[in-house]
Amino acid sequence: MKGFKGNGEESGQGRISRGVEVFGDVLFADALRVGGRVSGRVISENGSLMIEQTGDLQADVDVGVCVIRGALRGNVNARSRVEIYKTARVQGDIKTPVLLVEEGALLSGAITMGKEADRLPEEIPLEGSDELHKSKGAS
Amino acid sequence: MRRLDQRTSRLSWFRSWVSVSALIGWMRSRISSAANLLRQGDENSQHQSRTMPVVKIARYSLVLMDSDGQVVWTREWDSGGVFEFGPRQRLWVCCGFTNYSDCETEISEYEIELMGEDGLVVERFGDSFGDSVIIPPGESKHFPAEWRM
Repeated sequence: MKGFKGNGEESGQGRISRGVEVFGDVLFADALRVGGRVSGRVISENGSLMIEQTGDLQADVDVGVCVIRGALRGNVNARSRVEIYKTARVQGDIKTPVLLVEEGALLSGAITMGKEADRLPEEIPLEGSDELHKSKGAS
Repeated sequence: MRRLDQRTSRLSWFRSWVSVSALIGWMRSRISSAANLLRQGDENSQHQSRTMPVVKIARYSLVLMDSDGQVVWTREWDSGGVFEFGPRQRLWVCCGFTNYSDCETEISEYEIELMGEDGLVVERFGDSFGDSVIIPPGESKHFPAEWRM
């Protein structure tokens, strides 16, 4: 999963700048920064969405990582994590296994935590532990 | 007689002037100490947020243990890239376990560990159950953890 530090097209990072308004579904692969407005849905298998302070989304978000510093009206389903910073205004339900919230953030909605049972188990072998064989798998 | 009256009046004026100036002095000292306290508190909180460490998290893991403290199951997850956890922030992590085996799994305590890029544990959360929790085959349980900085 790519982060937000890289710049330009080579980093695989997309951008919806301030003053730009998008209606409809937005699909991206690696990373997307939103400083403008989006109405619709924002979807990525494992990508990272960053909503900047000027960003205003009226959209359901289904991504890997969701970092919120602006406004979001809609539900968020993040497979890896959600970060909500002090300038954020969120109205909607959030589903994620990892949630970071900074003091001052406005958040209105239900939070459901936990991984979806959609991945194969990845056990870590423990030396000298026969107990591992008793229980396998994870969600 | 008149001189005595004049002296008494001057004396009472002087007394009231002294008490008023004492009151003003006392108020000044109170205000100044309150301002100092406020300034000190502000400096302390600034110093605290400056000195409080920022933890970089890349992965996290769940460790399940039985009543003897033996590890019965563990798994590590990627946090979706490195992120920072610092002052004035709260972090919740929720890990799930599903018993895919044919027998029951007994769990007495669990730990959720946060790890940096180097794989070292930077924060740890642990909790235990009064009575062991039995997870029948095919059933799941979620284990939560919370940190505050």
